[in-house]
Amino acid sequence: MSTPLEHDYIGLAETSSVERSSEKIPSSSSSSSSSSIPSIEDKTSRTTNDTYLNLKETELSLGLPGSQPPERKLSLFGKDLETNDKSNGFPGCPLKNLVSGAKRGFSDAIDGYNGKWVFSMNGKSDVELAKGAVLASPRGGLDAKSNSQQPRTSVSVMKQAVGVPQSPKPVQDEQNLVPPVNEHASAPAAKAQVVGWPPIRSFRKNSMTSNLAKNSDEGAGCIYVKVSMDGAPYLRKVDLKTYNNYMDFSSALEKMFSCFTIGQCNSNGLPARDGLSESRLMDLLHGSEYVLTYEDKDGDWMLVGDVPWEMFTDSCRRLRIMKGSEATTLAPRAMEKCKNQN
Amino acid sequence: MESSELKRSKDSVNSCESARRSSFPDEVLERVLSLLKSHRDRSSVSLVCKDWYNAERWSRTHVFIGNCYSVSPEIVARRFPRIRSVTLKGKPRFSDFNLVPENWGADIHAWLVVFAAKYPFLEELRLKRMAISDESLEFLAVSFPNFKALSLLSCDGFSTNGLAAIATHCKNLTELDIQENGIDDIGGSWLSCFPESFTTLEVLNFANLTSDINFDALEKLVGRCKSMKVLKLNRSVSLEQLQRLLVNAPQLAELGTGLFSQELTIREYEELESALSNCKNMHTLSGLWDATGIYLTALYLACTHLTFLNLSYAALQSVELAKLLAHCPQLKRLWVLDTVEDKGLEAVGLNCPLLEELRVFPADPFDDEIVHGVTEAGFVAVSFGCPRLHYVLYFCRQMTNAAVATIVQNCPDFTHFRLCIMNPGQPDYLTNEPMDEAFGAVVRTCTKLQRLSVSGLLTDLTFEYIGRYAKNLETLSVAFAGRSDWGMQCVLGGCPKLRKLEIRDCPFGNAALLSGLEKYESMRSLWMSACNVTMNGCRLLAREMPRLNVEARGGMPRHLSLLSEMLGTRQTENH
Repeated sequence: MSTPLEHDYIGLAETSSVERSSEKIPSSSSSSSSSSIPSIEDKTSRTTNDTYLNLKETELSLGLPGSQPPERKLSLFGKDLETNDKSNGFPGCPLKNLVSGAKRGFSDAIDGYNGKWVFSMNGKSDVELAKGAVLASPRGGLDAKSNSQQPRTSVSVMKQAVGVPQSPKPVQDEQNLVPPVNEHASAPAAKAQVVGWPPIRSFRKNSMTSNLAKNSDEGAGCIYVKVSMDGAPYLRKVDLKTYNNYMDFSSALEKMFSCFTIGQCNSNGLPARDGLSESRLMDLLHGSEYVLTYEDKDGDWMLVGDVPWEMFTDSCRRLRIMKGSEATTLAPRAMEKCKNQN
Repeated sequence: MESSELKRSKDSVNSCESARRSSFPDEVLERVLSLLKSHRDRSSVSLVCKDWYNAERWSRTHVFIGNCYSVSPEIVARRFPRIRSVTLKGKPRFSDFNLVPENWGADIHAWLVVFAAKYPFLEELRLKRMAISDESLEFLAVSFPNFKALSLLSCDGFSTNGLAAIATHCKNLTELDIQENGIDDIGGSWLSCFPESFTTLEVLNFANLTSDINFDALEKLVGRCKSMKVLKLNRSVSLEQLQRLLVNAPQLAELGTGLFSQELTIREYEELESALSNCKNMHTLSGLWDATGIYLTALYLACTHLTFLNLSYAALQSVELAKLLAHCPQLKRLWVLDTVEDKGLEAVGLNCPLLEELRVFPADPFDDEIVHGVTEAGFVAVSFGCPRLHYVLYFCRQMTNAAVATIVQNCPDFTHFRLCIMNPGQPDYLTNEPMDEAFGAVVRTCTKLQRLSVSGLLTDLTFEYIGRYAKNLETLSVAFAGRSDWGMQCVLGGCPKLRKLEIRDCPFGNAALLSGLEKYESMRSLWMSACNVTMNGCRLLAREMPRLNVEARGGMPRHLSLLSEMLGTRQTENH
C-alpha cells in the first residue's frame, strides 16, 4: 500500500518508510525550497543504510501476528528545517498579508479556504523555537542509527512522522497541527507543534476542523475572528455571527477588553464588573486613544464602522484595537472618517 | 436452589469431606457462578480449585480481553465454550493521538474466524481501538444469525459499506454503536439497508459520521423501533428533522442531537421545545453541535431529569451555560468546552451539587496566542460546589500547586484525576515551582485514585509520591515529566495495583525499564515512547521476560505490550 506523502506544517513532504527511504523524497514533492531538500536527503541517505541494517537486525516483533514492520516516515530535523525554511515553504502559494518574520501560511493542500491566516511570530526567533521545542523529542530513523546504544541527545524537532490516519479528510487533519477554530487555514502558533499533544482524540480534532470547513464553504455557522489590542498580553476571539450590529459588537468588545485598559482584573484575567470601567472604555474607544480597526479579505486595514454590518462580517478577517497614534497607517479615507468622528 | 438439591449437595459434602474436594455438583456450582458478572470475581473464583475453574469457564458468557495480543482466539475458545459476548481492546491508547503507526495491527478478522467456528451463537461484539475492515464486518454480519449488538469505539479500517452489511443481514440487531472511529464515510445510504420488517433496534449511535443520511429511512426506522432507547444522530440532522424524530420516539433515554443551530420560526421552535420536553425518560443529552444561546432555551424543560449533559461540541459562553445549568439540578456528568471559562465553571459549582464527573475540553488546543479557556480558578470553584466530584478531565493553560491542594481537599473521593496543563513542562505559574506538590496532594488525599494523568513541570519527586501513596492506582499517564530513571523506578516499585503505564517524552531509560520486571507480569501494558530506552534495553527485557510481548521499534514509539492472562483481566473502563 503506497503511503501518501505527508506535509508537515512547513510543507516539506516526509520520506516514506525506512526500507524505501532510499527512494528519497520524490521529485514530485510539492514542498519546500530546493535548498532544503538536498540536506534532508543527505541526512536520510546517510542514516538509512545504517538504519536499515540495524532495524532488520534488532527487530523484535514478538507476538505481532504476521506483520511486517509498519512503514515509517522519517521525520525531519528541526535544525534543518529552521535553517532552510525562513522563507515560505510552499511554492506557488502566494502568501498574502505576510508580515515580516511571520510564519508561513498553510499549504494549498487545504481546500476550500479563502485566505491565509498568518500568525505573527511575536518576535520569537527560530532559536527560541528550538528551545521551545526541546520538550518535544525527536523521532524518526535517527534513533535507530548506529549509536542506538546511546541515549538520544538531539532535541531539535519538528513533528513526528507517524502513520496517516485512514480518514479521507484532507491532509491537515492528520496531525495536531490544525488550529481548530477559524475558517482560514492557519499556520500553527509560534511554538513548534508536538505530535499528539495536547492529547485530543482525532474525532474531536476533526470535528473542530470540519466545522471550519463547513463554515468557509457555506458561510453559515460561526465566524471567529481574532481581536488583538495594542498593549494587551493576549488575544481574544469573537464570533461575529453572535452580534447583529456595531452597537452590540462594540459593547461586547468593551466588556472583553476593559480589563486591559483599566487594569482592574482579578487574577483570572476576568474583566472587572465595575460599570465605571466599561464607560471609561467607551470613552477611550470613541475618544482619541483607541481606534477599532479590522483587516479585510484584501489585507487592508480599515476602520470599523465604514460599511454595513453584514458587509463587515463578510470581509472582516481580523480585528485590532489600535492606539490612535498608530492609526495614521490606515487608508486616508479611513483616517478622514476617524478624524471626523472625533 | 431446590431444597432437595440442597440436601443432595449437603450429603455429598459429608461423604466427600475426607477427600477434601469441592463437592457441589457441577450444575449447582455453575448455576451459582453464572450469577457472577464481575470479571475480577470470576478471575478469583477460577483460581480456587480445578472444579471451580471448570465451573467458571462453563458458566461464563462474556469475556473481556483488554489486550488483544495477550492471548489467542483459539485459547479463548478452548477455555470458554459458551461465550455470547466479547469485548476486545487493541491498540495502545496513544494511538488516539497519532503516536502509533498505521497498520500496527489489532485486526479483528482472525478472531472472527475462530468465533464463527466456536461461537456460532455470538450475540455481542464490542471493540475498542481495533482494526476492522468492511470484509470483516460483512463476515460478521453473515456468520452469526443471533447477532445483536455491535459497538465500535476508536476503531478504524472500515467504511459505511461495512455498516450497510450489518444493517442488511443482522435481523436481530438491537445495538449499533459507532463512536469516534476512523471510518471512511462514503455516504448515508447504509441506513436504508435496514429492512422494512426490522423493528428490534434499541441503540443507534452514528454521531461519528459526517455525511448526510437518508432522513426518510431514518424517520421510518425510528418510527417502527418502539424499543429504541438510545439515539445519537450526526451533524447532518437538522433541528426540524430532530423534532420529527422525537415526536415518534418520546421514550428515548439518551439523545444525541444533530446540528443545534438553524433558523426556526416561532412555531417550529415551540414544536421542538415541546418534543424535547416530552421525552420524560431522557437522562442523557449530547450532540448539540454549534448550539448557540438562542436554541439552548428549547432544552430547558427537557433537562429536569438529565444526569449526563455533553456540551463538548458546543462553544458556549459562560452566561449561556449558567442559564442552562439552572435547569439541570440532577446533573451528575458534565462535559463542556473551555469557552465557558472560569465563570461558567463557577456556575457549575453553584448549580450542580450532585456532580460526579466533569470534563473540560479545549476549544483551541493548538493555538498558544489565544488564552481563553479555564484556569485553576474554575476548577477550584467546581470543587467547592461539587463535593461528590470523583472524575475529572481538565485541560487548562495554567495551574498552581495550591489550587490542586484545595481541590482535593474539597473532593477527596477522586477516582480519576486527569489534569492536562497544555504547555509541556509548565511550572506553577504563581510560584514558578514544579507541580510536584499538586500531584503529591492528589495521591495523598485521594486514596481511591484509580487513574491519574499528570502534566506540568514535574521532577522525580512527583513519582516518589505516586509510588508511595497511590495504592489503588491502575492507570498512569505521563508526558514530558521526570528527571531521571529514579522517577519511573519509584512508580514501578510502588503502586501495587498498577495495570497500565503510558509514558512519552520522559528521561526514563533502560535502568528504569528493567526495574519493573516483576511488575510487568501483573500489568496489562506499558508504553514508552521518546524516552531514553534503547534497543538493547528492550532486547534485555524480552530475554528476561520471555512471556512478555515486547515490541520495540527503533526510532519509533516502543510499545511494550505485556502478556496478561485472562485470569487477570479487568473490568471495562471508561476510557
